[in-house]
Amino acid sequence: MDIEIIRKDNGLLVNIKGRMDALMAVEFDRAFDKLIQEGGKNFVLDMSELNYVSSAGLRSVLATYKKIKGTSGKLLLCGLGGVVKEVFDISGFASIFQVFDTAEAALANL
Amino acid sequence: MTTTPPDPGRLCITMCNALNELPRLNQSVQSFLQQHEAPPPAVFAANLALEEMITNIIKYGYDDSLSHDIRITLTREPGRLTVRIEDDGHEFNPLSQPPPDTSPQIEKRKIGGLGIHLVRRTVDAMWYRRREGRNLLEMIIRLPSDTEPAAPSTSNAGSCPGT
Repeated sequence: MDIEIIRKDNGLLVNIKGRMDALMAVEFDRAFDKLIQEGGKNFVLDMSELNYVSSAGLRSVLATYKKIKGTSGKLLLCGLGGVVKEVFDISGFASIFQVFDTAEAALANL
Repeated sequence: MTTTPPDPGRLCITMCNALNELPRLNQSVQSFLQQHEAPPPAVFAANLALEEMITNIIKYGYDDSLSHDIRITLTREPGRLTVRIEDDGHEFNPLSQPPPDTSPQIEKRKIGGLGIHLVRRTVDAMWYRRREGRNLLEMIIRLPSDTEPAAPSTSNAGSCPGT
């Protein structure tokens, strides 16, 4: 999994690519912990280039959401498609997060 | 981790109970499924089933810090792919687990506990039995008929030499 971080005027756009499995979820947690520690507050998580996610990935996204919420920040999701959308739908996660079609739409709502 | 190719329609892997074995398992499974032209939804279902069930075994299956073998068999037959996992961990029947909390209130959602639910919703059938101190879990993933192999396998799904 690759994690690309793009600084925008109103927050950080984090683009995750590839597989988000049990091992990669650890990298994800580490990357977000660092961003939050550095003062990052509002985030858009772009999943349009993610092609696999397991429960470990879901667990990390939810844990990250709770950390960001703890700093009064926001985490919005975008670009859910294919099997990633399927996993979010089955788990009910699609309805508990604010999900947008595109990064632009999510950034406009930060 | 050892990989035995007893017949072209079957992949047998023995891995130890360590999370860092997962990438190699994934690689072997990936190339087996590619070789058998498994469609993307079946590849996803197989990957998810293996990751969720094996991480559960590694995390919760053992009280000791010894190395244990986990045996994995993938069998490709006409119209279906069978994923079989055998381990000597604590007795654990994934089919008897209650459904997880799927409440829509984000603050109330517990972290974790979703893996088995995801697999049960993704594979087409699942069987479990405990035999001679081992857990045997078999999951069936249906394949569309147009991707069936030309020559039907005569294999009896799931068993590898030495299992």
